[in-house]
Amino acid sequence: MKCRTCGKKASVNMRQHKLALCKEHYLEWLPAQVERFIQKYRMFAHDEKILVAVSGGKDSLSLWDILHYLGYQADGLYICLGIDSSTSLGASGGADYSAESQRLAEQFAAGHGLKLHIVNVQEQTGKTIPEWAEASLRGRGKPCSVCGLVKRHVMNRIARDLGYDVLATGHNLDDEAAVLFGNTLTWSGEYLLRQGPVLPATSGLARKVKPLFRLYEREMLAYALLRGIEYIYDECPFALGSTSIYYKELLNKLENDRPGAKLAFYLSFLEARKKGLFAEQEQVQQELHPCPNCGQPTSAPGLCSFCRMVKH
Amino acid sequence: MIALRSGATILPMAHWGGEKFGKNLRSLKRTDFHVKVGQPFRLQVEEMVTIILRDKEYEVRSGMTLLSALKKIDILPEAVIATRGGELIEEDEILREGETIKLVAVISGG
Repeated sequence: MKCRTCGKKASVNMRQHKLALCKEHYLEWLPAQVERFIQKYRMFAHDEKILVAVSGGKDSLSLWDILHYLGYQADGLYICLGIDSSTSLGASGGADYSAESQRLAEQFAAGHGLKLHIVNVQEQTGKTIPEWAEASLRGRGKPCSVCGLVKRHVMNRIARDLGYDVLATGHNLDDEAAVLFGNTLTWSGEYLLRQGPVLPATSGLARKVKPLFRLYEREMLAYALLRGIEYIYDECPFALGSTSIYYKELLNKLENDRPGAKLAFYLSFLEARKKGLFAEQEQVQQELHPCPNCGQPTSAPGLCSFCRMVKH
Repeated sequence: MIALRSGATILPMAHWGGEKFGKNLRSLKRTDFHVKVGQPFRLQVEEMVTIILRDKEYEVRSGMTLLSALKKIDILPEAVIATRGGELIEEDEILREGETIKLVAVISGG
């Protein structure tokens, strides 16, 4: 297989685009695609301050790398969740998962001369994520729900307190298609209305963007490998056997037989929603109230979910 | 299997004619026995290729493409990226004798 640009031996073949590229041209092509999506979906401009949520994984570190390469003002935020061998709720392979992720995020920041904010959940709230999962009704046995809640809260708070215009996450097409697939199986109309590459800023919430949402997870892995980015390879011990991974595997089987199926599934969803396939936005849009404790918007009057969990 | 493992030379031999002995005896005819000796040869161990994914190791024959090898060991090509000595290789790559191919799982992280 040869590179379409120069004819040298190809390193990456993207069957969904009928495009094969060598290392050199792939590392030019992918950031150019990200720049195109940032512009097309009006995610942010070069004069805006961006906070990139980094987990130590390939997607978030690659996103930070690309934004830096494209000349954006992007700082990182690492949230230490406290997932290690002593607090893994019986999950296997959890030894020092958070410590290793943090080390890799710090190493990347230091190597590129970038600014990284670190928030330790245990220091801020008194408990690690697995401990919160045990203590609250929200996540008995499986801390993913608590983890999502805490991460969203911390990301919003840091973005707001430190004056960032936009919060960028490393969600790729496979992440988005898996969530869409799950929401479609249950026809969760409200979630389907909210899912998208750009969530506009509301009072108390920074704009959230997903610049990698049209890139396959396989493409992001190829980028990380070719750029030599050291990332955490192991799964989060709590993600093993999760439905999101199962949906990703199912979609990969579909993609294997029909290249481009994942991309078409997600893009046609965005197009259908734009044309009003789902309920009118006004009918389901909820009024948001500021939380009396932290000030972040919440759907019901009174404390937000995070503050309710921490107070109880 | 003994010849394969010991590396001993094999001399192929065949004989025929004996199957007609009974019939010929009844009609008091002589029976001709034939023996044929072929060229000696040795069985050669085919060089294998080792494929590693996380903590699992697989062995496949050399000379096949990466795509065929992945199908043989039942790994979805969409779910992995293959590397040879740190370099990314694509599905049409022919696997060479004795080499090790490392597969990197696409799904990773939290």
